[in-house]
Amino acid sequence: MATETTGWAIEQILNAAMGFQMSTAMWEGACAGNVHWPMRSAVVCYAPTLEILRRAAAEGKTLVVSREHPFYMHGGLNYPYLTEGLEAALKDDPVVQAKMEIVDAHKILIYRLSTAWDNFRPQAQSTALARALGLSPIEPQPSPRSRGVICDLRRTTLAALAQTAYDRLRARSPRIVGDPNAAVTRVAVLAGETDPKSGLAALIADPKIDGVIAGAGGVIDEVDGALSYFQDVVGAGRGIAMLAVGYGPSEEPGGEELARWMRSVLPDLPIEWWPAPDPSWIPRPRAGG
Amino acid sequence: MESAITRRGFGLSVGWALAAGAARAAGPLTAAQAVDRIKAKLAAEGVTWKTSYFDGFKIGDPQVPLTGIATCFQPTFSILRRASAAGMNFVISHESAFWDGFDPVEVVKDDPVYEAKVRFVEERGMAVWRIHDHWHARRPDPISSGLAAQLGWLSYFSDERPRHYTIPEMSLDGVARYVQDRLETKNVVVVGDPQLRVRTIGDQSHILSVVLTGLRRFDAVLVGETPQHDTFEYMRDAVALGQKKAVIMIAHERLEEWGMRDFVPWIKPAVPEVPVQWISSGDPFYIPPLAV
Repeated sequence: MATETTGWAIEQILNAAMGFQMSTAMWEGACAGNVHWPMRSAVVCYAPTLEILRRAAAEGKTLVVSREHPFYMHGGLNYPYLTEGLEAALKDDPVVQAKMEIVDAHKILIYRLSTAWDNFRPQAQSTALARALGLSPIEPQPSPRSRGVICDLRRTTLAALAQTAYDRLRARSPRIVGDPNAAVTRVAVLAGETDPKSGLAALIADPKIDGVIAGAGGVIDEVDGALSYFQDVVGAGRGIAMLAVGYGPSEEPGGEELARWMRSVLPDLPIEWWPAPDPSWIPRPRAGG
Repeated sequence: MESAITRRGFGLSVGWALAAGAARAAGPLTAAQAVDRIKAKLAAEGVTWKTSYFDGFKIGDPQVPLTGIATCFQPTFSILRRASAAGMNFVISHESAFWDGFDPVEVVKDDPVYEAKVRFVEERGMAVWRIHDHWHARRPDPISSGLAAQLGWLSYFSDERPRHYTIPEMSLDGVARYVQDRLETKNVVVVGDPQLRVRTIGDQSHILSVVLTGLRRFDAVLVGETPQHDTFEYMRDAVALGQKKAVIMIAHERLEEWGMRDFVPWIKPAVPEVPVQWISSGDPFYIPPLAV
């Protein structure tokens, strides 16, 4: 039988292991449940979806460590606009209530570990995404504190890499900005959002980079975010294109890495990584159509 | 005949016509003069020009003599090149020039892409002016009615908040394919059961708190860009809970650029000295074919 501990005790261990990186970022840390409840086993996931909570309840998991917030409060220092009015809009929301009922009935603690993880291992999410796509980040990375990583690869196209994303990440809605058939040999891989634009600009500063593989845009996918900047980078004449695999699919692989690391510092706590399928889809040509 | 010119409306109409006439008499039309006529025309419709974080000149000299006006969704480098090639040196856009709603020049002024874009405009004697808030302020909102017309759903459209369509019932998959066809793009990303029966569709953008107002009342919401990390995740959970709802996401361009196409016939009578044309942004996203 696993050792019983509490969410509070786990938080102290994680914090110490990360060199006290736990941030005071809004909408992070314990988001639902009680840190003093006993914790017997943990699940790591990108988003603590209703399905994941149902499964956690069925399998007796008491700690859910997630990249995203259970009630959709993404937050972020760059764009508080996203969560403006959202908390009020979700008051008495049946979806939120359904999740809270599971949390309370099964004493599940949902703990969001996002900014602290990024501060501790800035490139973990993007490295995991790159490896999930079969790519290897170059050594050493030119900017180790950047969120993104640079990978050299055998000459291919972003259209081909979109198929790889579909096959390996189960990304159902990969999209490309720029020429999908232009050859790429050096790509910047960036899990999650491409914002802020200054970060994207720094990441692709190396003129040899001819492709970007990212999750999605940021505040709003393109117009008010780094993707509109990227359109102008292309428009200014640079031979570069971007594959957006989808926000969730780009962040999912990092959960496996986080789970691996958590096992190393919490050896007595059973920890599993539960990826979730991409919920999105794009109508495809019908067979024979 | 249904047109009814009220005393106030008649006076304002005469006002903007006189303003246009006065500018015509003064020599070549400048960008600033064209903007004055736009403001007068809006005022005639009851839209008073107010201080706006968004609307105004973004690049170039407002006193530049005009050779033509290009309207567009966003003044990307590509749009600027096409406007210049078509001989249009005044670009009127709905969205920002510098990648953020507020056009934060102080933040981007050292970026080489910013410098190249400004240089391109200035070297060609062009000017870029944005109209966002004041174009949305017209009733019906031309951005929404422009989309409704492009979708072929004008008769199904209600401009009352929350804006929505009541369409002949079809499946969610059918709606998504219809939107693909009408908006001439494959970039239609959906979360929801493809077999869901859809009769009412909200037109709510761009963030979850706004999307929720439509989701609670309608079968689906059509949104031009929304952060996937909250809207898609909420939708996933709502479906898992058994709610018969869906989100249909298209590019911001394909949602709103039709309203800037409608700017052309609206402004043409006020600027007879120069040609006016709309330049489509298209869809920035290409959807690659996949072996599924």
